[in-house]
Amino acid sequence: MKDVSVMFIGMTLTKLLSLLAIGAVGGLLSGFIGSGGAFVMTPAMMSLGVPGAVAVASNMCHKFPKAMVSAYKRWKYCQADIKLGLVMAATAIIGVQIGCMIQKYILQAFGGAGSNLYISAVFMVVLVFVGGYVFYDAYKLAKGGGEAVVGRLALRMQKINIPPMIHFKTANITISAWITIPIGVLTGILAATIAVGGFVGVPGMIYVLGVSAVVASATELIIAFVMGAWGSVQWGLSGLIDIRLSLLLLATSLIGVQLGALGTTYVKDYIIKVVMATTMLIVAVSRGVMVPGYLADVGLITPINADTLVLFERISYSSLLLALGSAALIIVVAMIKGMTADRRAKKTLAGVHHG
Amino acid sequence: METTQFDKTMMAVAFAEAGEHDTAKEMLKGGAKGKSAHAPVKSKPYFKALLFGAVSISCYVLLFSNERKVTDLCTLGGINTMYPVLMAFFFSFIHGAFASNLLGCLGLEAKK
Repeated sequence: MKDVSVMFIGMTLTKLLSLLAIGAVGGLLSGFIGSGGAFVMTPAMMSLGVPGAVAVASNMCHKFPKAMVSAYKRWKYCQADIKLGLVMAATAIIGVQIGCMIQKYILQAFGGAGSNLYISAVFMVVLVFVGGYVFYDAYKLAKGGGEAVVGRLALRMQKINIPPMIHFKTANITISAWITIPIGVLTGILAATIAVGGFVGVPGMIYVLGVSAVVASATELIIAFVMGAWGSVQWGLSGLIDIRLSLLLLATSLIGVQLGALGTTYVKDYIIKVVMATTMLIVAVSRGVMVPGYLADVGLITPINADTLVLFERISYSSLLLALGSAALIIVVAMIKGMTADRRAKKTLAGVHHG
Repeated sequence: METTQFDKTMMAVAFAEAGEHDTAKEMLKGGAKGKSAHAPVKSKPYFKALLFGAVSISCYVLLFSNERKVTDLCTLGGINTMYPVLMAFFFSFIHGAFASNLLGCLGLEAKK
C-alpha cells in the first residue's frame, strides 16, 4: 500500500477553511457561467502545497458531481439542452485525447518549461480574443436594452445544410452536426490544455451555433459532467485523487453552484456575458505576467532575477483572486437586484388583488 | 374559449405593468369571488434541510476521523477507482440535497 502522507498534504484548519472558501466562489462562478471554477481552484490548491497532478485530479473528481447537480438544476429551469450537451461531450472527449497528445509531444520536445510556455500562450490567446469579443458583445447588448439576438455568423451556420441536420429543442436551433463537431473538439483540446473547456464551449455555442447565453452556460455543465467523469476515472486509475480535497471543495461549491444556477433566472442574458468576459480578461493578465519567466526558462530571452519572478508569481495569484472576487461580486449584486425587482413586482400584483 | 383564472391574472398583470391599474382591478374582480386572493403559502423545507444537513455532517466527520484509511483506499488504483468516484457521487447527492433545501429555507428560489 502507498504511503499517502508523502503525496497528500496534512490538513490544518487554515487549509481546510481556504478550501471551503475556494469551493464556494468557484461553485458560484460555475453555476452562473457554466464553467470557470477549475482555472482558479487548481492553482489555489497548488499554492496550499498540493502537488500539481494531485490538484488537477482532486479538482476533476469534485467537478463532475458538482456539474451534474448544477446541470440538473438548470435542466429543471428549462435552460439545459441535454441532446446538445451529449453531442458536444462526445466530440469533446476526442478533443481531450488530441489535447493530451499535443501536451505529451511538447513536453518531450521542449521539456517542462516549453509545456508551461505553451499552456500560458494558449491561455493568453484564447482569453484575450474570446473574452474581448464577449465583453464587446455584452456592451452592445447592455446599450441596446439587454435583449440578445442571434449573431450573423450563427445565422449563416444554421443555413448550411449538410446532413445529418440535428434539431435541439431547448436551444431552439437546427444545425448540421458538422458545425458542432469542431466546437466540441476545440472544447476538449482546451480542457486538456488549460482545464477550462468552457471558455471555448460556451462562446462557441453562443456565437457559432446561435444558442442563448443562458442555455449555452447550462449546456456546458452537461459537457463538464461527462468530461469530468471520464477524466476522474483516468486519474483514479493512477491513484492520484485526494478525496479529502475533492469533498471539502464539494461542501461549499454545491451551495455556490446552486446559488449561481438560480441567479441566472433573475438576470438578463448580457450579465452572464459580462461575468464571463471579466473573468476571462483578468485571468489573461494572471497568465500573461508569467510568460516572461517561461520565455527565460526556454532561453528565448535573458534570465530574469529571482525577486522579479517571485513578484510576477504574486501578481499572477492576486489577479486570480481578483478574477474570482469580481465575478462573485457582479453575480451577487445582479442577483440581489433581480430578486428585489421580482419581489416588488409580486407585491404590486398582490396590491392589485387586494385593491 | 373560456378564460381561465390564470389567463385573467396574466392579463391583469400586463395592464398593471402598463400603468392601467383600474383595468387590472376590473379584470380580477370576477375571478376573486368566493376565493382567497392570496396564493397558497409554500412551507419551507426546514425538516429536510435539518435531516440532510445532519447526514452530511456525519459523513464529513466519519471521513475526517478515518482520513488515513479512506485516502489509502482511494489511492489504490485499478478497480478501487470506483471508491473516490462513488464517494463523490454519494456526497453530492446528500450534500446537494442539503444545499438545495437550505437555499429553500432561506427563501432563495429560482424565478418562476
